[in-house]
Amino acid sequence: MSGRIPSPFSTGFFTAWGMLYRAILIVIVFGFMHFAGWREHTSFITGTISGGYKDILGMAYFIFYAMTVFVAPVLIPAAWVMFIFERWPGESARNS
Amino acid sequence: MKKLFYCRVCRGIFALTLAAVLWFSLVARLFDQPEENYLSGDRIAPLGRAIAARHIRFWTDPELRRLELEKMRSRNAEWDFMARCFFVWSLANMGLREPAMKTEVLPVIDAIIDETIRLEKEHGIHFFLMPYGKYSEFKMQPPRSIFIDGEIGLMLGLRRLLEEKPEYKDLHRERIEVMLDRMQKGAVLCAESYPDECWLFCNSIGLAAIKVGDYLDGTDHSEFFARWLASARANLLDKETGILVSAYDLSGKNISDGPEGSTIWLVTHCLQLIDPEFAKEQYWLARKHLKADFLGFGYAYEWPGGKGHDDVDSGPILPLINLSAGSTGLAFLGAASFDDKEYLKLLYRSLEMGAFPVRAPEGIRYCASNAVGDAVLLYSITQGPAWRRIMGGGTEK
Repeated sequence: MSGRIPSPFSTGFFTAWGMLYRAILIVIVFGFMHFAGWREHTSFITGTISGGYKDILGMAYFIFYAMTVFVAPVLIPAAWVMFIFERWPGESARNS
Repeated sequence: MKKLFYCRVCRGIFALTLAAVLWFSLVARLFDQPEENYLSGDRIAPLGRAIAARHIRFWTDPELRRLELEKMRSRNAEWDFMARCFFVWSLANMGLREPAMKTEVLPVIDAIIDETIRLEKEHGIHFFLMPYGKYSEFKMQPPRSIFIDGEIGLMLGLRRLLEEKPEYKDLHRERIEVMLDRMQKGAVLCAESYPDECWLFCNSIGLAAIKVGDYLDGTDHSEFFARWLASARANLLDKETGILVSAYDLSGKNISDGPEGSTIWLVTHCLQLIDPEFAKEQYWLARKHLKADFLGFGYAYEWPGGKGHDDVDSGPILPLINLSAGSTGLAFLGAASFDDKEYLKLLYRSLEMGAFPVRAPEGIRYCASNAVGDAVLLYSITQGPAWRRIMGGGTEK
C-alpha cells in the first residue's frame, strides 16, 4: 500500500485496497436497498411470495444483507492484514 | 515457505481466512437477545406483547387483514386458518397469564372464532384446506377434516378456559364428539385431515382439544388417551429415529411422510397434556435429529439429518445448510414448551438475524415471515398457563 490511494476500478482483489473497496461497495449497495424499503419484500424466505418484481427485490435484498453481515466484515480486517503485509520489509521494496 | 509468503494470492487467502475465523466466531453474539425479552414469567415477555399488539391491530383493521390474508391464501389456505388458531391460542394464554388483559383479548378471540366458524359454514371445510382435498373422497363420510375440527375445538376450549361462554360450550362439545367418533373408527385411532390422509399434527391438536374439554366439563377420556398412546407407540414410531411419523393413511399401514420438523415440534407440545414423559422423550429425539446450527445461529431441519425435499409444510429449504422455515418456526414452540433455553437462544439469534424485524410504535413484525409465522412465534412466547392449569390435574368443575 503506497501513500497514493489507488483507483477503485483498477485494484485487484488480493490487495488491501481491493478488499476494502469491495467491502465498501457491498455496504453501499445494501444501504441503498435498505433505505429503498426492499426489506418489506423478503417474505419469499418463508414461501409467501407476492408475485412479480417485488420478490426479485426481496431476493436481492437478502443476498446483499447476507453479504453485509458475513462478507464485508471479513473483508475489512483482511484488508488490514494485507496492509500490514504490504508494509512488510522487503515487500515494500519489491513494490516500490 | 518464504516464497509462499511473497505470493500475493496466498497472502490474501491467509488474511481472509484469519479475518473469517475471527468474524465468524463473533457474529452470532451480535444478534443475541436478552432472555427476558422472549421468556414469559409472571408477565408476558416484551417481544410477545409487541407481536400481539401488531396482530390485534391486524385483526381489527379489515383492510390490513384482507391484504395479508389474500397474500397467504394465494399460497396456502391452511395458513389463513392456522394464523387464526395460533393467534387465538396465544391470546387465551395471554389472558390467563395477565387477567387484566381479558377485556382486551376476549372480543378479539370471539371475533376470530365467530368469523372462522361462519366461513366454514358458508364455504365448507375446503375453504381452509388445500385444493387437493377436493380431488378424492374422504373415506369416512360425511367429509370432515380433523385439521379443522381439532384446531377450532382447541380455540373454543382455550377461550372457555379463559372465561366460560355457554354458546361455545355446545360448539366445543360437538367438535369433541365428532373427533372422538371418527378417531375411534380409525385403525390407529386417528382421523383424516385430507382424504385417506391422517396427519399427526392435526390429530395431536384434536387430542389436546379433547383434554381441555375433560378439564372444563369433568369428562374423562383417559382410557381413550391410553389406547391412543399405545397405538401410536406400536404403529407410528419411525424405526430409524424413534420419532413419531407425520402422515399415514386411515389404515395406519402406509406411512406417506416420516418424521418432519413442521409436525413433531407441535405434536410434542400437544402430547404434554396426554403423556408428559412420552412428549419429553419425543422432543429430545426430535432435537437430536432435527436441531442444527451454523456459526452459532440455530435452526431446524425438516427431515432427520437434513436429508429430504421441500414441500408446502417445510417451506423453502435453504440449500447447503438445509434450513427449513416451517420446521424452524415450530421449533420455537418445541423449545419453549420444554424449557430448552439453550436451543431457544440459538433460534432467537437466527430470528433477529434472518427474519428482518421491523420495530414500530404499533408493534413488531418480521418481514421474512407471514401472519401464521408470527402467530406461531407469539404462541411459543405466550404458551404455558393453559397447559399448566390442565396438567396441574383436577377439573374446573
